[in-house]
Amino acid sequence: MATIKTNEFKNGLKIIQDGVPYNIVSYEHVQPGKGQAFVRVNYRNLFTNRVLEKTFKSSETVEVAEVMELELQYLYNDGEFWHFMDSSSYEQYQADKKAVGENGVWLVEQDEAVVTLWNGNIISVEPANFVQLQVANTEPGLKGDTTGSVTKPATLSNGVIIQVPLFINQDEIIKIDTRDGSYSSRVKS
Amino acid sequence: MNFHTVPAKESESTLQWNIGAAPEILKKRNEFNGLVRSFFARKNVLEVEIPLLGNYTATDAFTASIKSCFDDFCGYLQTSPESYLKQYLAHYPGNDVFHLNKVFRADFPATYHQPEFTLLEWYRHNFSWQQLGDEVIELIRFLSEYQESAPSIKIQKYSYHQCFLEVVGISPFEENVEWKKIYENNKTRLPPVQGVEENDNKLWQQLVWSYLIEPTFKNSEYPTITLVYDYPKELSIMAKLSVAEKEQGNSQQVVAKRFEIYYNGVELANGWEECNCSKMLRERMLNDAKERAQRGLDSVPLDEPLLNSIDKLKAMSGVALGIDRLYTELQGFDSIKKTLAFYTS
Repeated sequence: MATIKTNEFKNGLKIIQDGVPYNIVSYEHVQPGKGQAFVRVNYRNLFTNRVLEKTFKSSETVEVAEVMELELQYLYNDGEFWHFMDSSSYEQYQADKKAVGENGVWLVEQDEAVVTLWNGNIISVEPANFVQLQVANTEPGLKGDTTGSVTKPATLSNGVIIQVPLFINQDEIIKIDTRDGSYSSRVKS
Repeated sequence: MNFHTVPAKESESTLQWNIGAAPEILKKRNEFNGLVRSFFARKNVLEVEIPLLGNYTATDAFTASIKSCFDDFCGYLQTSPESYLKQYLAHYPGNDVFHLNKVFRADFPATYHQPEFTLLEWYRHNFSWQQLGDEVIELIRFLSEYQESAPSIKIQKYSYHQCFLEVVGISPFEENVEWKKIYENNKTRLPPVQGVEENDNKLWQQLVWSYLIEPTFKNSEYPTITLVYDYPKELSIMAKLSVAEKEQGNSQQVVAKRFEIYYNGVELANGWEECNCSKMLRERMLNDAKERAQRGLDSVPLDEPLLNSIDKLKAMSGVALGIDRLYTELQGFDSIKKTLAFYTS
């Protein structure tokens, strides 16, 4: 079991608290002029993504989480699991609904995703920041409008409905920012 | 946690020095230092430089010093100029002196802290702590008037007792208070704490101070100076003791003639009326040594040259002020790092 002292805390360090892996988001050493030092830490639960605050006595020891981030290729969904492959070792991994969460809709077959492994199991999946998807259904485009300041709903091939500029037509391929599910640009075919 | 307890060879960590403030920020900082010096020149307070590498260091329980060695000699980088300035004043009595220079602590870098920082410390003869506290406020006002948007600063003064009473409803002078319970049962839910022993009442009380009381020293509408006074005698450090009227009841309470000053909730200055009884100070230092041993901290030798000069000191008050922090706050930066040419992170 690897451990680390509070004085070695870094942003992005993964630690275990009550059996759950956390990612340190920020930390602050507090050193009162005439008092004992302590450390205020904000950390994110890697399962729930909730950010919590905790105070550690200075020089306290904590357990390091054996967490790895890998860039894996998304293969397919078999109805229960999402399957991924390491394109260099061809090793395959599977993730369940809990790990994939709401990000599942943005997984596009053959695209790379950043996958977090804890003790060899996938605990979270970050799809690529931008994905290209086809517009399955939208009102016909308005030729003259190129400003994009007025929008209309469009249903994408993955079933997600987003707002797109008026000039976008059905069957067109568009680029979407998966971090907020927003329209980014038109993909020239 | 002291840097010097980890041999450099075995440790992977080094101090990361980053280049920070641009020349235009440093130019203002130079002017700021000039204003500080002009403030004291006008009042006939003499600037004194002290040896930064000394034989002795602060003995109080929570000050961590950096050891520095050359040849067969090992000394300490000074955590404050206090010992040497007092030795100087014992030798040349009656002068008012200040120091504006770097000091060193084995502490980790933070938003408002660096392991080496510039400390302004000064001593005034025949000043009570109240007079010196007012002079600190006068200095802050003087410096703030040279800022681009001179703020109108609000001043508030509370006794240590009052701070606790108003925020958590308990007197810090009451005996057998279980500060862990106060921390954990507060109606504002505070973050959980790891590694603090149940019976480390001192640290639990400090957490109550840091999480519940200090935030009340900040006001979102106007810049605020908060002066806290009448500390319990356990927190007297090198301050004289006195008696204050208990704020409830008629009997009197022994307190330290000490004050702290916060600017917008940031701890800025610590001052007191100087205790000039070496016997009493030796006793306090020995108690601190015991506490250091209990907490597993390095033992440090008693500063005999300081103790030898204490009885020769005349009536005076002294204060130390984190000038980097004050500059950061007055310039409206959110971290001390942005104001320094080099900073560690």
